Amino acid sequence: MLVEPVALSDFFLSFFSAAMIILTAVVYTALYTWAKIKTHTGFYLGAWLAYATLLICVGIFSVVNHFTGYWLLLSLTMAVGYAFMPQFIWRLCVATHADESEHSHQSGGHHD
Amino acid sequence: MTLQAYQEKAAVCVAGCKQRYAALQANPYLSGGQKLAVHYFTVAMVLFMAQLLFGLLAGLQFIFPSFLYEILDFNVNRMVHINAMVVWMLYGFIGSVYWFLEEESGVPIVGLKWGQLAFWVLTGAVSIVVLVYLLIQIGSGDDTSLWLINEGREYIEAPRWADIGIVVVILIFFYNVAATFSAGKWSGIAGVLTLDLVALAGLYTAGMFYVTNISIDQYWWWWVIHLWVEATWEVLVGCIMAWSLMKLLGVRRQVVQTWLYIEVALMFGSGILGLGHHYFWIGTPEYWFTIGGFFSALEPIPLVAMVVHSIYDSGVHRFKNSNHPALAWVIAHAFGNFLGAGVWGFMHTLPQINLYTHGTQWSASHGHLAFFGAYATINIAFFYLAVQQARGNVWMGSELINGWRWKTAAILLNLGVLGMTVALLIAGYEQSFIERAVEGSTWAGYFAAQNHPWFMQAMIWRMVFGLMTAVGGGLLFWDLLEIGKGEDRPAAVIGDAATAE
Amino acid sequence: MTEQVPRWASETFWKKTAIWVTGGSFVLLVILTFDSMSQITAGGSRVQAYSVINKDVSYRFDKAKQRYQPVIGGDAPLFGKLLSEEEAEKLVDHGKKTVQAKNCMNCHTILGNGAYYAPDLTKAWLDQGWGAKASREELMINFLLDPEKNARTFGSNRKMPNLDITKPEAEAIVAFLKWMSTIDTNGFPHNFTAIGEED
Repeated sequence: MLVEPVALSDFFLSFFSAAMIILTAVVYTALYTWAKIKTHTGFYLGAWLAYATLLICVGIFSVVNHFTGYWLLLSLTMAVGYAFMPQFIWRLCVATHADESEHSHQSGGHHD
Repeated sequence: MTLQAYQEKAAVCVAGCKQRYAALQANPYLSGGQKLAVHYFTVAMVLFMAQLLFGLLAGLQFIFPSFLYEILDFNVNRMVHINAMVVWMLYGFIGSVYWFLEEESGVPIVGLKWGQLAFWVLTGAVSIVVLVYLLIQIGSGDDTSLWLINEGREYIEAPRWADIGIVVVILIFFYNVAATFSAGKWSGIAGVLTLDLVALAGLYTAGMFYVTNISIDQYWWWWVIHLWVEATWEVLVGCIMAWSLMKLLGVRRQVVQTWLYIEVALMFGSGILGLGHHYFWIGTPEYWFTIGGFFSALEPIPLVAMVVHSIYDSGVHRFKNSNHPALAWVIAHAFGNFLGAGVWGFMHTLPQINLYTHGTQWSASHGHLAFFGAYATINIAFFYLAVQQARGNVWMGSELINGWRWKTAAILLNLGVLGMTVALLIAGYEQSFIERAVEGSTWAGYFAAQNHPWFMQAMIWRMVFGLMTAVGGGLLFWDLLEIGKGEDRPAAVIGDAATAE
Repeated sequence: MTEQVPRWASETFWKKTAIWVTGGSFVLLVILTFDSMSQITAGGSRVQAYSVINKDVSYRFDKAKQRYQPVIGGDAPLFGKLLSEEEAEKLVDHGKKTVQAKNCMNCHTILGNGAYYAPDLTKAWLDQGWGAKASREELMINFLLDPEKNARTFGSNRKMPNLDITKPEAEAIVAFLKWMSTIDTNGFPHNFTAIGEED
């Protein structure tokens, strides 16, 4: 069988850990980005703390949702994905804005 | 008041509307497309008010079941509530596109007359559909009812004749967009927008036929609902946002367009197969567990991307902007979308828990915050951009005349929707617990959950916050009619005329 | 102007990526749709042929699959009339149209989708609220014809309004509900004790 439903006693944990996964992912992302802008170690520390919380939440979520086999791959994807996605998107942000400082008007310039 | 007094009041009202309409047609600050857009925005706001009103009526029936019993039953109120929402959002989107079409393409709209005709046809059709919903309500179990009264499929209840009308109107809209860009110049935003409109119209036809088999019926029904709301609408809003950000924050076109493509890749990449999370329990095969679960877990990724980017922008540009109300609503969009679609979505989406939450107030809780956060907010932001220009591109920064009004409206609307969402969350939690898990979803179990004090109290709190939302909505309408009047400071200039580039 | 932007962050790169991701996802969805359609066509193992309304239906926990499953039993023709596949389809079809025309889905949920003001109809045919199998058909018809008088509010005061349902429509709705209760919904609803399975 593919899925084993959450036990009645674990409902709250399931909802709560799921919500916390998304929330900590965003807190981690925000702190990480902020740390990059401010180059401040304090924010990095906060970011990694948030990520550590995220990992715990993914763990709890996987246990109460009875993840086995394929579903554990999903946990792994979340743990790894949420770790690297913000970093990748940060680099993308810097790169796409690369020529911002020396940007000048180009008459009739039209990008497509 | 006597009848005569009422008549006089009505006459004053009509005269006022006529005067406003004449002023709109003569507005020197607006192009032809923008005047058409204002038409759409006006109807959108009226429908928004209808959504709030019928939402309140339906909510009251949870508390007082005999309220309007057999006059306007719950199913009628609820149908008007959700249909008004879908249609006002579409009106907002169409209006927004007409608003920037000429500026973006560099030429006047090719078929403006057709666009105007389509507006009146659509508005007439919507009025007839709503009147039939309210006055005739239901028919006998045959094709005539489905063609003329209502199709009885949640969100796309519009009778078949109206479906055909909607497709025709969307095609006219599509023609105007594609032909105008062809006559002028194409851009990245133009390309994404045009292709997205093809998908939007095409997907609607997936909901336009009748089948006996309820599993097949719901399979295609979700194509329309999910692929509109979680894919094509998102990209449409992405286009509108892209243009607005150039306007509002002065972000450069190349950056905006690159990010539009990135968002398209992320949203379609997660959203199209995210459809799978609606295919757990309707008779469809088990592999949808795997697909739906996986892509649901990916759906928050575009939100992560938005967080990084908005913090990056705020660090670099420090939110310098020319329109405070619009920016406030864009920020509300960021938070609402993240909480409503991201957190509320993921909490109950995997099959292991969805088995218990599917078809409970959980969905209502998620739906309220997600639709508001993802779409209502962005439409309202655009209305403020439009009204700024309509009033002569006036100042909309700090210390606005009657600035309390837009702030109060924004606070009431956001708090109201958030409050309803939390109330419905508590109701849904209790329902999934008692009705689903303990009582095994029997009818007795359903009512045991509905009669539970947690549920009853949640419905009262939902009503309180619903009223708050409605007051905020009314205030917003009033503010849009008045803001910027008597303002003689010109708008702040941001960026370096980036949109013209 | 794009010299300084690395290729992997350029507009053209992401344009192509967007097109490929969208196209790829959509093609995959179309392939899956073909497969799903073939599996949920009436007459298969997941969605039964319409003539299943001639049979006894129940819903039990399946030990092998570890979830609840519809169980099709011996002959138990609806309203005592054995129908051919064609007749059964016509009846269920009429029921489905009535369910749409009466806008049931904006109070009830069907397969869990709809509004949340009234109970789910997925297993309505199997609900214990009908008391015993013998009197079920009559109770359902009476209820549909005059829901106000035969109200089953379970203490909630929420009553179904009179929807001007005719006798043939009521019978068709019951047929539709019976047929729908045989769909394999992957174990939804869970923990549901069907009528006649109370021990």
